[in-house]
Amino acid sequence: MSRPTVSRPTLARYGPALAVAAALLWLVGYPLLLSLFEALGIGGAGAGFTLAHFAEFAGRGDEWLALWRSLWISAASVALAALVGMPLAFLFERADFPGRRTLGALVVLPVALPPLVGVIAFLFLWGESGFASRLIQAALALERPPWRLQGPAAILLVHGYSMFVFFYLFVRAALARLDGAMLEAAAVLGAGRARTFFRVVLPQLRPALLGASLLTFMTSLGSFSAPYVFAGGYRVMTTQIYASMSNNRIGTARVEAVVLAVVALLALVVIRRLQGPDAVAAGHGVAPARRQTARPLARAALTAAAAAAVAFLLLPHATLLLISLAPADVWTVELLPPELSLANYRDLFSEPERLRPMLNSLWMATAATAGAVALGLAAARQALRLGGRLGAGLEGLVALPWAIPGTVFALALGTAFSVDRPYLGRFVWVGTAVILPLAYLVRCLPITGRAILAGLRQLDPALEEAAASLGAGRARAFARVVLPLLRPALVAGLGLAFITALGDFVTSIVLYTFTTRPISIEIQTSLRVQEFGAAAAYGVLLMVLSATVFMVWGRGEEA
Amino acid sequence: MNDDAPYLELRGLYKRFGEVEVLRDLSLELAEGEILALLGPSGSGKTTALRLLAGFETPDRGAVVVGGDEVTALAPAARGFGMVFQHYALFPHMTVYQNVAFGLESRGQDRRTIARRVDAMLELVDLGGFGARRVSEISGGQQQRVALARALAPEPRVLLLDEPLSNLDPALRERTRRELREAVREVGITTVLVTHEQEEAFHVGERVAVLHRGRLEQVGRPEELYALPESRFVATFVGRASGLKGTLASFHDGGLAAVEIATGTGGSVRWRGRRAGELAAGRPAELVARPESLRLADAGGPGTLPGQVVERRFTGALAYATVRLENAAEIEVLIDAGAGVDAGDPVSVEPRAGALPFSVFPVEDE
Repeated sequence: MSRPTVSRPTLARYGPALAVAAALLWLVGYPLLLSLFEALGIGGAGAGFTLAHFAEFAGRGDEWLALWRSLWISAASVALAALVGMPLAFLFERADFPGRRTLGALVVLPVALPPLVGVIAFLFLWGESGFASRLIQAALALERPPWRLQGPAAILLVHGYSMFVFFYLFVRAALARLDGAMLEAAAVLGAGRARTFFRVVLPQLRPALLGASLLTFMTSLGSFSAPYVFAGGYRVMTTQIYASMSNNRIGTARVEAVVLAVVALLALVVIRRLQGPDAVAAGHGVAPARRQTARPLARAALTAAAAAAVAFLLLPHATLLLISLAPADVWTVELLPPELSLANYRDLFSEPERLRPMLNSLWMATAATAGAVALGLAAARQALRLGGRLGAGLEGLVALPWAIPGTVFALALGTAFSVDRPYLGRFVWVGTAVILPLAYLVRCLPITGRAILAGLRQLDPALEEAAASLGAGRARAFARVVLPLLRPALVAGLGLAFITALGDFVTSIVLYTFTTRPISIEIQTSLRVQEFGAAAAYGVLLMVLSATVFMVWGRGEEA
Repeated sequence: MNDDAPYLELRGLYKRFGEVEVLRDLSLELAEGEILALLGPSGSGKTTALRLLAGFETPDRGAVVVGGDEVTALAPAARGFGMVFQHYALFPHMTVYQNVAFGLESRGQDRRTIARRVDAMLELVDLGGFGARRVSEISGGQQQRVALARALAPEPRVLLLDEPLSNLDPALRERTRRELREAVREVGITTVLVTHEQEEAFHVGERVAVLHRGRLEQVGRPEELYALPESRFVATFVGRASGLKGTLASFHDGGLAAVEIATGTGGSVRWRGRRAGELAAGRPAELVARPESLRLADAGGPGTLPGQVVERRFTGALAYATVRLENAAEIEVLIDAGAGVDAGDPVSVEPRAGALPFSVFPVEDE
């Protein structure tokens, strides 16, 4: 006998969704709103609603200049990244030559450098006293270094180097998905190579190109490490915010943050609009065959070109490794370090004060990742269960921290959690061990949430229904059916979130305390006191960890 | 040009991929305006033949000749052929109109000519007024017709169809097949259709070439292939047929051969069929029978093969019985739809008088 089914009370039905929504609003929406309110003089210690801070912003030329620089540098970064990434994507996807697979996998390694680590690697390689400039100086017997790595050119160089990977990966994937019959159809219809490229191939790469542009633009807009290290007095919005905070002009900083957040969201909306709906191929065809070159000389030339590109892209990694092996105080004027040893690494692990940041980073990244996975999983499940506008709203909250520059979010969290008003959900967490893991969690939420959402969307809902029909309760169906199938997505999200948290610099520099200082802060400190070997050694550790995660992730993607 | 001269010729096309010979000296001739179907199972080389025709592959040997011009080495774009792809390969970012206009624009025609031609082609495939639609907004059958219109728009010399109906659901397939055939006939274009479906080949093709393991097995009108198969492969691949192995007993007048087949109960029967292939008396031979050439007889009658019905298959107008003979062969027999035959019934099978003759093939040592 089965009892008649009773529709469950509304609270039980919407309860979990409400709980998740509340948590997301508290961690993501609330701090941003509080910053906005305080920038408007509401709720803070100030005298009530005022537009004075905004008026001040509007009246100052240096603010507009910083905003303009942020925008044009982001746009130029997109162009530069496309210019590097697209040809590489075509080379590795459409041509065939010995070593294509291996070299094609190595090309993406610039992503394995966390932002600050990439920046210092560039400094050691291309900076005034870096390898490259020393080499040229010595070769040409110049009195001074041939160039100085600073200002917008330096920022753009770093951006182009680290962000071309977006274009490379997106365009390669799109090229692989292209229906080979489409190219043949164009050929039968009399189109030459150029016409086929411009009329058939390029339009189909549009979603990929816009996707990569969006990622590059948003990343550049929020980029902090490169402008912080290279720009000197050349301020962009992120460094402007940081400078205002450092000079104790917190009101100004909040207005700057609001402006940058609004600009970022606007950019997001505009680029998304341009993207439009994907033009999906009618039939699922077979990817076009790679262009075969029979002449051995041409094949060798392709391999050589690809290898040269990869070698060039891996120079920063090599530089970092070499400097990490140069003991302190033995290397002054020589072109290459006179001796190599593991002394820097030994110090890292034997001196408690040097080990501390590593342990800090490890536990904070672990805690943040666990939180981001749990919250991401709960939010993704509820978003899909609710569907419609409510579901989309949850998804939007999960994705929001991605669109907001890290500096802005750090400031917002600092604003929200520096006041003791528990009944308003505000606690004094700034200056404690809670704030950095929390900040990392929020920053990683889009990464885990996105991966889990994608994983859940691929699951056949009939599987859970099948489990239910076989008598499994919700918990059992989730544990035995959903979780195992979700594992690849979970692992991917987890890995990426972990290395993002581990290498974070932009939120750390705003919110760290001496006892909770993470690796990136220690790198910056080492740099300031000229302990390059130690900085490089930290960098190498981060780089190796990141590369490992990417490699595991890449394998998961292929499977 | 001489009316009898072939318009499209495949001369000894040979192609191998690595160690695999995918096409072994394929020669075919098509008259102008003729529709030829290349029929074969997957791996038979039919798709390779089409790709050699289109110019996507180059043959290791052999030539493709159109209207007296050899085009073997020409690039696809220079051949003036039209092609409909298996998954259509419509350009998803263009409208229906833009897709159909693409080939005309490639040839640098002026806009007015293009517009007129595109409209005419869309009318031909019954899609007038669909020009502004995106290809993702129309149904699978409509996409198929757009693909045909696009291929025909530049007035190609030869039309190539690569499994053009395989993407459609069965209900739609028959109607689209008829429309495709009518459109192609109306245009009167020399056409090569590649398919693995016999029904499609027979319906659309005026002649059918059967390919097997890269070799041409037989080419002819559908009726010829069905009634007079030249190889055992054609006999069993085209239409339904069952084989009965035995020994060639004797030859008879009119090219008939008698095969002695063991009944499985100690005796044997002698059934006659048309000779196909190199036969020798006393050698193993196989008699291939279509279901309609056989009938059920009373159990144990003279000249019959005894067995037991294992399955009765009702298809509507017709019904078939699958009989497992005492000699272990399994054989399909056409029966009356109303006949009271059921699985498990003991029966005998005999030739149906006046029906299509059996075919007798030599049994290859393998």
